[in-house]
Amino acid sequence: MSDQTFWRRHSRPSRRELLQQCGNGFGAVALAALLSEQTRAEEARGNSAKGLHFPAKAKNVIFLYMDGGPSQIDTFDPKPRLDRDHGKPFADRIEPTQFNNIGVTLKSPWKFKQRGKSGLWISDLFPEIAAHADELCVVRSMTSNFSEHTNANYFLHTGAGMQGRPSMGAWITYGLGSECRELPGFVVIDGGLTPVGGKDNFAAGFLPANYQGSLFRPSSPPVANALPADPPPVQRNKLDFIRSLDRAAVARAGGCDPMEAAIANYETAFRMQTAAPKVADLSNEPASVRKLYGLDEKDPQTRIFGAECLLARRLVERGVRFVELTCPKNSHDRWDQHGNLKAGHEDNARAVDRPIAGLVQDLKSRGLLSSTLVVWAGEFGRTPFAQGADGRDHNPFGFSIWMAGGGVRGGFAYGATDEFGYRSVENRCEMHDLHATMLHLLGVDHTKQTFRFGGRDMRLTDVHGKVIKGVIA
Amino acid sequence: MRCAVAQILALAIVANVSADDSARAEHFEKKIRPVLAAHCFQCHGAAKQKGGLRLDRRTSALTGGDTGKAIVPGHVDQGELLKAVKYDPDGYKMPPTGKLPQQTIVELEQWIRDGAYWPEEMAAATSLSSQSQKGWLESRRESHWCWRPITRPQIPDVASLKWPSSAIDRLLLSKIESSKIEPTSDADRNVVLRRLYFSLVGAPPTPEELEAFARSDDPLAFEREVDRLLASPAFGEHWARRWLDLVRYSETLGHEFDFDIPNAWRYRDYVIRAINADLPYNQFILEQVAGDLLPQHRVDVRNRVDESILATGFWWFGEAKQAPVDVRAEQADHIDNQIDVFGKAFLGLTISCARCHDHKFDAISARDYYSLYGFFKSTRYSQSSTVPTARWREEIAARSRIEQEVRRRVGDGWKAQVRELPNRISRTEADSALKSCSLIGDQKTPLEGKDVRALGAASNGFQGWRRSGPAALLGDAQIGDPMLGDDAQKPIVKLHEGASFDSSRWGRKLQGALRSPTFVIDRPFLMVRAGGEGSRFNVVIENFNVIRAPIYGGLKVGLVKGEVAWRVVDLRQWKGREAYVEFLDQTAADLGDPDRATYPGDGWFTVDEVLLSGAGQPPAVTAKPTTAAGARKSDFDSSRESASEESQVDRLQRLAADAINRCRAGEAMRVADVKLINFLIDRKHLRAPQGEDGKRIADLLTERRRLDESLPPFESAPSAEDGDGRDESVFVRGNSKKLGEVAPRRFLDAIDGDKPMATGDGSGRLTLARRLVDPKNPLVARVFVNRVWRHLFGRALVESPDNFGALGEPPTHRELLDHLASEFMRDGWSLKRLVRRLVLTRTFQLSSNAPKDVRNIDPENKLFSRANVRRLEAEALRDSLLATSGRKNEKMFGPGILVHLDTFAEGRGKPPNGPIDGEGRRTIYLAVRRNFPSSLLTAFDAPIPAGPVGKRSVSNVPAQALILLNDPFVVGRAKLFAHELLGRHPKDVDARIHRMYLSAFGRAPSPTETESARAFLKSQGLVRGREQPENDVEIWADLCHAMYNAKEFLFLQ
Repeated sequence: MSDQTFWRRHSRPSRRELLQQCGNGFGAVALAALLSEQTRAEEARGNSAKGLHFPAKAKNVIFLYMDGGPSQIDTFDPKPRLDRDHGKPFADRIEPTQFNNIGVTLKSPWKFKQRGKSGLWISDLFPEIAAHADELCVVRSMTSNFSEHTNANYFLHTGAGMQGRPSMGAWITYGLGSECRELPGFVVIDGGLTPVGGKDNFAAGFLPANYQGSLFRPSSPPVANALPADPPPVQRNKLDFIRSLDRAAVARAGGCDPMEAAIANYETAFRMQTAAPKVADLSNEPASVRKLYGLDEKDPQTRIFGAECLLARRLVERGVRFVELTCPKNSHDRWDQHGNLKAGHEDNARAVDRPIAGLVQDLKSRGLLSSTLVVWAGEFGRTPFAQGADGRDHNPFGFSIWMAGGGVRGGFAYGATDEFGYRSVENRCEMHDLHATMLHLLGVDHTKQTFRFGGRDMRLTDVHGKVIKGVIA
Repeated sequence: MRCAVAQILALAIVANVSADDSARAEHFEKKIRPVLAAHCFQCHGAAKQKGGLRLDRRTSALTGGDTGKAIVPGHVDQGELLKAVKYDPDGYKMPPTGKLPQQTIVELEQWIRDGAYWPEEMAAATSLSSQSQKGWLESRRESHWCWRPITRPQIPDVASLKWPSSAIDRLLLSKIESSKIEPTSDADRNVVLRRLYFSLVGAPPTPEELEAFARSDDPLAFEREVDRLLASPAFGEHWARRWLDLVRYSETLGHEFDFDIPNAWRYRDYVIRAINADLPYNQFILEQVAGDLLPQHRVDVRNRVDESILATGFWWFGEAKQAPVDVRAEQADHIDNQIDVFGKAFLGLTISCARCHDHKFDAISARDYYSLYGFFKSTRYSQSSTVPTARWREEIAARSRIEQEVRRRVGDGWKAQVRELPNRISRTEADSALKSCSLIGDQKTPLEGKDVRALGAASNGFQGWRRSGPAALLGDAQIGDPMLGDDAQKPIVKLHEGASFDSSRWGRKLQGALRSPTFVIDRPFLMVRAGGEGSRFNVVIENFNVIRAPIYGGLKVGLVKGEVAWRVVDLRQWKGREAYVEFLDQTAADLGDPDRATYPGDGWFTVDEVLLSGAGQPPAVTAKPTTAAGARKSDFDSSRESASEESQVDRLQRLAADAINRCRAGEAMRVADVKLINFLIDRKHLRAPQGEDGKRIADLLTERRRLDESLPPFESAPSAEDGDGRDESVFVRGNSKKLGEVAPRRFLDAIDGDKPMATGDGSGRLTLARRLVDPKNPLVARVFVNRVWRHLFGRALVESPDNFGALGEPPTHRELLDHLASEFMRDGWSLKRLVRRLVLTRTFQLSSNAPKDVRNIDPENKLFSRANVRRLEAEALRDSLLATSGRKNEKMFGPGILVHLDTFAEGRGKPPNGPIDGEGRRTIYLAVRRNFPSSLLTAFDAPIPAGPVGKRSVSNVPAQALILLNDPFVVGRAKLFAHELLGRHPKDVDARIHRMYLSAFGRAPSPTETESARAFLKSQGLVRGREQPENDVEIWADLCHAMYNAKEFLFLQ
């Protein structure tokens, strides 16, 4: 928490602040009312940070994090020039790479086709996602500042290529609060692969800790320590006794705000013990839904990611603000195909293709897609020339991500890379621009959502970022 | 300058030529200006000048921005504009929205090649002079309180004379009185005692301690408790953790694989010892900044540890990448983190805000930042010996004495043996002996005329190189120095034939490092003639010492097979970078190398020569024999016999006798002499002496072996070692590729003036450290007393303890802050006496319970008219759980105990899982691994070791409640607590309840509380279906568990 506001909050927190810190949640109506009050209070102390700045198109975010950096030229950015140059020395200047093991130009092993009514180009890696091409808004001109996984991950997640900054999920939850009183506002569903850089990718950084990402597993129980150590009546009796001890303690202290806040916190935790296992219990979902998400597929990775996607939908339904999904483990090293591109990308794609298609379909049929922004992105793309014989090295100079729902323009490709798919040349986008755009779609002006820390008004986009207007419907 | 003149001339010429002006003007207006207007003016126009660049006027376009000229007419290879639009890696990529079409770039290029015609009058150029810099800094310095000298304030008069017990109380009370309130009542004795224990030692008092205190009618009982706790080892364990927060203490590097920072824990132990020894604070930070450079190192006598070396470990706790693509940018990030710690921890200043530009609010310039940068750039990472150097010198001196005596006694024997030589040796053998001695066929390397640059050679004693550890300190062997063996029948194996550096000169168990001066890689290959076993050398580029694949793996060269040979390192991709070479024979574990088998620690290396070369082939071994040094024709020329009176055999005898005399006396020897003796040793013409001398030699060799066996183990710790002093240039806009003017090394302008410091030939850190702790520096003492105040009173006088600058919080009690700071300095910078003064104030004894009107008048308790309620810190919480359950392990120091990770912690570099209870050790001894922190500690706000944290957040999240309710560690402690109570009072339920309250809450229960505890036992017994709940350990565990979850346990009143 900021140097200045921290103390104020804890020494003289209003009941509203207390509850917000503890529960991280409210009913939507109460929240809206409180937010405006909150905003006024923050403005009064020169810390205008939170709340909506203009009408939101999206309410929730599902971030499909493609760990390791999928290749743009094998997925959403077709480059015929690579077919022509295949096997020849790369015809453009080459930037320093991570492994410095530069091979010849390497064409994509997959065919591209135009899909849907829009004719959006998608390769054969994603046959199921391709069926929803008209919902997808591909940004082909994304860039990053880093060639190393860790920095690039921090950059994608927090807008800064270093450890210790708040994750975008934390910023968004900080700005908008949660609409769920039983669950955290920012949930990370852990498919098995922790991103390089660790949990700091989901950290609250200098924001209050209640905005940090809570790690859920697509299993029951989904959260650490959520399974009561005692049978319910045993714990309930204990809790009643604790409450009586606490009431007396607070009375003796002549009223004590931090203690009262901690007491309220126990109620939230108690509810979470019930709510979290319940939301993660997918056994009551009908067979058709299970099939839709790929829960019955042969590939265990597909089943895991399917469960993640289904859980994500359930969390969003309950008002969780920001859900991030990480990839399941397979025999390859994430999307990071320094070698063996064909097998690696195929396995990775198979794990996510049907589940993502199912998620988009399901959100649409439930009327949730318009208010849920789905973002598909890795920390960087891959080189159009080979690493060694059959791999691709990291490429932060130009790559593709996509968004769907939440007010973006479907069936559309924005920006372009050069003829090799190497560098972004048209409508070049930075991570800060992606963040600015996500905030914008959620009704937040990225230049206005600030938090005073270490003598500066910090932002998710630092001093950068512009909203990518072209992708908004 | 000449360039600029030429440009003006060029412009003048262009302006005067009017023949095609109209055509050019048209071309400019049609083709060029629209491009600039469409893509550049928005950020570099009249309204905005990003990077100080304006492109809508010719004059300003030519002047350029922060990074230099934008356009140089006629020169397409110069100027930032073309670089930017071409997306050159050394330039900015402009326009940022995407590369311009190739056609447009070609047109811009053509236009510039043709002289950049721009039909506009030349206006008078204006630029910011660097003179104006001084002004803003000075005025900021004068206008902000923190830069002003510390002055002793008058102690004010107060109305209620009876209340204060010290000057500190009076300074506080006068403000309280002027706010028309009064201090609240004193807290209960047991509340104050619990507060005192947590404040001083971070753990609760035991029931025995509580009861003894309650019983005592000694008026000085509290004071005695204070002194007892200050003297307790737990004081250091508790306060050290606060210091570790400031230096972002971590035992791993984070990033992709979370590599170890080997032996980081020794720094943690150092801090604990320093605090327990009450090392004066100025000494404490002096030795952290530059302990390695102090003329007199501080040695912990009991542990025989060089504390001054350990102190410098904190510089290396920053995170580091495995394989950065831009190694210079990586260094910049690393140093930025060091500057951030230096600024915030010691000075309470956000110096790192001046990385990209002058500080926006404080009197800190970008020059200040880069002046400091030079110190850290000139400092190297080393795993240095923790055993004091003096101790190693003693060890080596003892071996040297033995060597001398062996040399003398063997020499005596040889002298006798050489007299027998004519009877033992044939003419032919004598002939070949002389021949072999006169030639050195394979030694000399002809380098003359080659494109090489020497970096160091054994022949000149590796002049200018830096040595660390016993193996390197005196590792030079001179020509003729003996190599001792273990066999008394062959005590001298041979003599050194050339000067060399040999890390096993005094025994293989000794370890160390030899480091070259810093050099610029100006030739593509590094050539090293070296050999060894279990050792290696690294090429360290821009101080990047994580030598790992990919990218950096090739910079490590193993010396494993013994033979001395040329090794070649291809440095082509590092051309222009600064680097140094380091030879090491330390263990893999100490070096953070996964290859444990190859580097066991008893290896050795020898180095002859290190050079940079233009060619990739090592210098060829010459086929043509050259004459050995000292092989004068008259002595060694075998063809001379016929012309001489002297026979070959006689000559050999004469030369040998002469050589033996020199050897025996330790005089300088010629290579030829050495070769001759070695020949005679090989042919057994020179042998070990028998009899008295032989026995003595055998004893000496035994003693030498014994010395080796009793050698202290070589232990090392991360520490600073000086490199060559090098200044850095200001990075324009923080970009390490855009260099501005050089910023000579010095301390902050606002504190110490802007004159460069006399830094000597090293980094100059010691001078910096001395300026830092100069009593005239207004910040160091203020910042520290403020931190201590905050730890004891729950709220600081300056509530932004890491930022005393303009954006920090102003002090609530400036006079008090200055009073404390000046007392602190006058009192020898003693932490313990400062703490003592503070806890013996009346203010420390106050109750937290205050009437409503006082809360309304001073809701944040800025006046300190009452105590602040505080939640236990993560460590105190865990330590309390251990203490109450009776399983606290008091063992101090040592490697970090691995954290018990739950199944939710996954990722690369995951360590083995530690025991659930952390072996019962205090929390400070748990390992701190960046990517795998303890979930319990993290939930209760233990900081991420990213940067300095002087003020932890105090959050309130469901994870905390879930941990206290369900975590197996907590549940397990409750069971042990219950066992402890039942064991102590097997019969008496009330006595158990009584003790439970004392342990957990630091007070006795009231009769009602005893009653309700009994009631809980009963009701819980019903729920669990137990017959005798009052004696049932599980029901008791439930009760204890409830106590752990009570807010009274978690909070300090």
